[in-house]
Amino acid sequence: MRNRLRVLRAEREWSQQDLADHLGVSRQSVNAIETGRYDPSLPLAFRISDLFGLSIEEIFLRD
Amino acid sequence: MSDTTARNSANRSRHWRWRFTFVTAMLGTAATVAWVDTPKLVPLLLLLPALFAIPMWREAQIGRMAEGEPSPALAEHDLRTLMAVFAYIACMGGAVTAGNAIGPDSPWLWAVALVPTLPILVIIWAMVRYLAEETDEFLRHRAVNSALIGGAAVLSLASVWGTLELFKLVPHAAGWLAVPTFAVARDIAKVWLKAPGR
Repeated sequence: MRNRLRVLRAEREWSQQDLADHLGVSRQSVNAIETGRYDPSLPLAFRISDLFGLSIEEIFLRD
Repeated sequence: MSDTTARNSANRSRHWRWRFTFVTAMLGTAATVAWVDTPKLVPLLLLLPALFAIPMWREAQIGRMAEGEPSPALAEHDLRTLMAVFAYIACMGGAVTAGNAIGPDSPWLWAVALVPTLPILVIIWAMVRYLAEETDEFLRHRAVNSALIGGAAVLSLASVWGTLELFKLVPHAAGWLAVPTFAVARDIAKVWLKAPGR
């Protein structure tokens, strides 16, 4: 699954660690999600969606 | 290469160097104990891998902090495992000494022989607890995947080796080798799962 996490993070000038701290996950998690190596669970996807104020579909895109 | 990347790479390299030294020392000790009849030297031989476990554990903590994996559950798991390794060494040393003292016909030999298995069970319990206590879903996912690969490697090796043993093509392999084999296979899987492009 593709996602716009890197772009959304860059718009806010956040590092991966900053985003990880906001979400309460490890930087490795953010990196894995951004690079498409890991698809987050629904609860984490909702946390990401709440953080950016966007719907899940606006962040995560179908392949 | 940025300073942070270079530092992380150096941390990783130091950690894996200690890990390799620890595993080599463990295997070397196991081979020496199995093939050389020196029961009185066992406690002394077991001290060697224990000494390498301390810098390996320390470098692992430093590396995880630097790489953005400051998982309290993982730190707790590592500490429990390290304590269990020391307990295993102490129990094995004590059991070998006690076993020699009481002789092979004593019924107490059962109890003495079972003592060193308790820390091994603690190591397995620590792995299960880690999966229950890890709150970071990606780290948990990676731990489960590497444990599955480690388990698959042990089952495959045991099945193939056991069958070859039936035909007397290979020497007998001790059952306790399952845990170190699992640990080595799981660690290789961890590195493979971390590789770029995975």
